[in-house]
Amino acid sequence: MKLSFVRRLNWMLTGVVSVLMLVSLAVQTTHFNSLFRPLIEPELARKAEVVGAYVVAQIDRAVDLGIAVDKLVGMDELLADTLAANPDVKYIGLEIGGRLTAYAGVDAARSGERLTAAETAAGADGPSFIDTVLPLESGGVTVARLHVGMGAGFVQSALNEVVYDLGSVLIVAILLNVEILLLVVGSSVAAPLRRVSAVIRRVGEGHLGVRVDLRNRDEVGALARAIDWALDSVRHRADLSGTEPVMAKIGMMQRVVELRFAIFIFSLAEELTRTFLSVYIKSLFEPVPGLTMEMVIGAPIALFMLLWAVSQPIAGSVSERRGRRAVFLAGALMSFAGLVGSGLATDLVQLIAARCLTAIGYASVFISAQGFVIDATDPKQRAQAVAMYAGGILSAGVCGPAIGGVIAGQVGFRTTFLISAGLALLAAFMAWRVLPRVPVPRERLGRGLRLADAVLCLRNPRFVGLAVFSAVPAKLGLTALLFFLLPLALDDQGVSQSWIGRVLLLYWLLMIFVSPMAAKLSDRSGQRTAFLVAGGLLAAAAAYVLSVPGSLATALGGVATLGLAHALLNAPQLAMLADVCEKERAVLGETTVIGMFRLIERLGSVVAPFLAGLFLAHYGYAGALRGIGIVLALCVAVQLVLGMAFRPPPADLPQRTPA
Amino acid sequence: MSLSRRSVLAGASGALLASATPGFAQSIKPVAAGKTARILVLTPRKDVGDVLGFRDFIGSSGLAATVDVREVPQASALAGMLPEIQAAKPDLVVTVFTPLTLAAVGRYDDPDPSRYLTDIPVVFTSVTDPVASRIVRGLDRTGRAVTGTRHIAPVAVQLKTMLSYRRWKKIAALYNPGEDNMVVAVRDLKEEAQRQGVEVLDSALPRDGAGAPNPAAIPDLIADAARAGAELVYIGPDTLVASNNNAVVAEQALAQKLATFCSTELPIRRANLLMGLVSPAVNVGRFAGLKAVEILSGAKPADAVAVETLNRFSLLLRIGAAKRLDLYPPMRLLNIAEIVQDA
Repeated sequence: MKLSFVRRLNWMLTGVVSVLMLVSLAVQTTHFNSLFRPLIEPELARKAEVVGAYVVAQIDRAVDLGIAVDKLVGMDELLADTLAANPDVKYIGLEIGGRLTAYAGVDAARSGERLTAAETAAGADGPSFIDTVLPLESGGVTVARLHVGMGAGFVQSALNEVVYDLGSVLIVAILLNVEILLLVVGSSVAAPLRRVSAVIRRVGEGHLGVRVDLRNRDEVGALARAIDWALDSVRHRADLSGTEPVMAKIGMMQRVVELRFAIFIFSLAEELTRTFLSVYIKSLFEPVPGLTMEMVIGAPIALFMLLWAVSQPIAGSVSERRGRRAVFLAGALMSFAGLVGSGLATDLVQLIAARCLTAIGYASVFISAQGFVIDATDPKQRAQAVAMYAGGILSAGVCGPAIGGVIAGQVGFRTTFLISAGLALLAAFMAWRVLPRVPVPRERLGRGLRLADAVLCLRNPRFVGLAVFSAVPAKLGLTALLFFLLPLALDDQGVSQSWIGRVLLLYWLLMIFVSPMAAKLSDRSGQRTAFLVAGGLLAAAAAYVLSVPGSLATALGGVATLGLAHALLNAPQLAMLADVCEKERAVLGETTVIGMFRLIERLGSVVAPFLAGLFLAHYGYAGALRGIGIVLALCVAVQLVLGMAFRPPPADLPQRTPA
Repeated sequence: MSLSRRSVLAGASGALLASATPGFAQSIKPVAAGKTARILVLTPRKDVGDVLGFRDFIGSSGLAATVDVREVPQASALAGMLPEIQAAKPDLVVTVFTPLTLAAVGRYDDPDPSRYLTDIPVVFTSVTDPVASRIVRGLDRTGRAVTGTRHIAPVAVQLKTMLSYRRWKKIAALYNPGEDNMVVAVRDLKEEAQRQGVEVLDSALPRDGAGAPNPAAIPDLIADAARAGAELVYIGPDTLVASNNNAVVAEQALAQKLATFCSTELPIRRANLLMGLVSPAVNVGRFAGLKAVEILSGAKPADAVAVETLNRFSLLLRIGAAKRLDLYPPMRLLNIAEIVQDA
C-alpha cells in the first residue's frame, strides 16, 4: 500500500506545524527576557530577603545574648541548614569587613574569602546570581552583612524546559500527523481511489459488470457513484446482464487503516505509563520476607511480561473460534479495568493483580488485531498490511513516554493511569465500530503452537543461537534497561518525569528511523551475522554507557546507543530466521516458526526484571546496569560460537539461494 | 528538645484511655469511688520542682485527693518515721530522688515489712536508675507495687549533646564512687564514649580515712584533669558532687578553663556550669502525678505501671560561663537551647 499522497501531505503539514512552533518559541524567548524577567527577579529578591531575615533573626538573638558576631560558632552549619530548606537559594554567606566568615552554597559564587557573585553584579551578559544583602547591626553600627544569592539562571532554565518540551511536542505532533493522515486520507481517499483504479482497469479488460460500490459521501464517493452510473448506463445500453466474478469488497483495507489508529491509541495507553511504572511500583513497596526490595519491585513487570507471553497464543486461538472482534473488545475492556485498578491500587498485591489483568488484555488485543489484519488481507498485501499495523505500535512507543512524562509530571502517576484507562476504552469503542461483527471467512493458515514444535525448533543449534542468544537478550536489554532500571535510576537522581520521557523517546525514534535503513543495508550486504553481532555488542556497550555516573548526557547517549543496537538487530533477525530454519519452515509452516521465535523471545522480557532486580540489590544502579551489559555481551559470544560451530556446509551455498 | 505542657497532657489522656480495665490480681486495692484519696509525699526539700509538678498535676487531674508533703532532709531519718506512716495508712506514697526512695521501699529482692513500706503503693520521681539501684526488677514489669519516673537522658543522648557543642577528645567524669547509680552511669558513659572515639578520664572522688568519699578533693581532681588534657568535666545525677558541691565544681572548672556538662537541672540553674541536658523537674513530677492517678483511679494496678523517662529533654546553656571560657555554643545548639542567665 503506497502512501505517496499521505507522505506529501504529511511533509507539508509538518512543515507548517514546525514553522508555527518555532515562531511561537522565538516570541516566547523574547518575551521571557523583556516581559517575564523584570517580573520574576524582584520576586526572587523578595524570597531572598525572607530567607535572609530568618538567618539574621538567629544571629541577632546570639548577639543579644552577648556573643560578638565574629565569635559565632557553627555558622556554616546554620547556613547549610537554611540552604537545604530552601532549594532555590544558591548561596548564603556571612561577610564581616569584606571577608566571608561563613558560607554555604555553590562554589561558583565565591573565590576563597571573597564573594565574587556580589562583585560581578554588573556583568556583560547579566549576572548569574541575584545577590541580596541584609545588614547586621549592633548598637546602630553595621557589623556584618548577610548575602543571599538566588540563581539568575532560574529564568533561563525555565525557558530551556519550554524549549525541550516544545521539541518533544514537535516530534509527537509529526507522528500524530502521520497517524491522523493515515486514518483520514488512507480510509477515505487513498483506499477508495485505488478501488476506483482497479475497477476501471477491470472495465478496460472488458468486464463491464463490475461496480465501485462506495458509500463515501464526499467527493471520492461522488466520483465512484458517477462511475457506477456510467457503467450501469453502458451496461444497460449494451444490454449486458451477465454475472461477473465479484470483486473483493473494498471494506477490508479501509478497516485495516482504521484499526491501525485504534491500535495506536491502545498502545499509547500502555506507553503513557512507561516513564514512571517502576517508580510507581517502588512507591507501593512493602517488605516481603526473604526477598530484597529490588526483587519485589521487579515482580509486577516480570509477571506482566510472563502473562502477556503466555496468554497471547491462548487468546489467539480463542479469537480464531470466537471471532477477532469479541476477543479484541474483551481484551480492551480488561485492560481498561486493569489500568483503572493500577491507578487506584493501595498496595503491591492489588497493583500486581491489576497489572496481570492488563497484561491479559494487551495480549488479547494485539493478537486479535494482528489476526484480523491477516484474515482481511490476501497474502500479497499481508506483509505491507502487518507492517502498517505494527507502525502504529511503534509511533505510540515514541509518543507515549514523551506525553506520559509530561502528564505524570503535571497530574501525578495515579491520574495518568486513569487517562491511560480512558485511552484503552476509546480504542475499544473504535474497534467496536471498525471490526466486522461477522467473522471474515479465512483459510486456515497454521495451527496453534505445540510443545513438539518447540522441541523441533530447539534441536536446531542455529535457531537456539539466534532465538536464545540474540532475540532473548534484545528483549532482556529493552525491558531491564529501558523499562525497569533507567526510570528508577533517573528518578533516584531527581530527574523529572518529563526528562525521563524525553530520554525514552530517543530509543523509539532511532528504532523508527534506523530500522528501515539497517534492513536495507543488511539485505544488500547479506552480512546478517555481522549485523547481529554489531547490534548485540552495541547493546552491551549501551548498558555500560548508562552505568557511567553522570548527568542526563550519559543517559541520552546510552539510550541512543541501545536504540541504534536494536534497530540493527530488528530486520536481520527475521531474515536470519528464514535462513536458519529452512527445514523447520518446511515442516511447520512459516507462521508457526515465527510464532515460536516470538514466544521464546518474550522470555527475555520475563527474566529481565528479576535479573535486574537481583543485580540492583547487590550492586546498586551502576552495578546492575553494567551487569546487564555483561550478560548481553556474553550472549553475543555464545551466539557467535554456536554460529561458527554449526555453520552450514559451504557446498550447500551455490545450490540454494537464501529466500 | 524542650517539653511542652501540652504533650505531657496529651500523653496523660491517652494513657488513661488506653487502660480502662481495672486489674484484680492485686493485693493493694484502689481507692473506692467517691472517697478522697490521701497521698503522702516524702521529699528532701519542699521546693523541688518534682513536688510542684506533682501537686499541679493532681490538682488539675480531677481526682479527689489530698496531698500531704513531708520534708525528710536525711534519708536515714526515714526509718524512724515508718511506723507512724504505716499507721496513718495513706492510699499512695510518693518519694523524691533515689536515696529517699530506697529508704522507703528497700530493694525488691529484700522486702522486709518491718523496715520498709510494703502494703502501700509507692510512686517515685527523679530516680536515676531504679533497676541498678534494685528498687524494681525491671522498667516495664516492676515486680512490686512500686513504680515512678526517671529524669536522666540516655547516656548516648547526653554524649551526643556534649559533642555537638565541640568535638571534645577527652572528658573527665567527676563522681562519687560511693553512689551505685553513678558507678553504673560512668561505666555506661565510658562505653558510649569509646564507640564515639572519645576518651573518658575517671575522676572518682578519693575516700578519706574513714572510707567516706571526700568532696574536699574536688578542686584538686579538676586541676589534675585539666593537666591530663581533659577539656570538659562531666557530672551526673550525683548527690554528693552535683547536688551538694555544684558551685565548687563550676568555679574550679572555670578557673581551669574547662567546660562543664551536667545531667540534672538544679546544679546548672544554681551554679556557673556551662551546659546540661535535663528533664525539667516540674515535668518529671507531673509525669509521676500521671502514674499516681493511674493507680488511684484503679485504671491499672501499681505493679503494672511501667517506670518511664520523659522522652524529650531541655538543653540548658549558661552564656555567662561560655563568655568566661571564650567558648561559644554553635548556632544550631543556641537555637534550641534554653538560655540560663547569670543571676
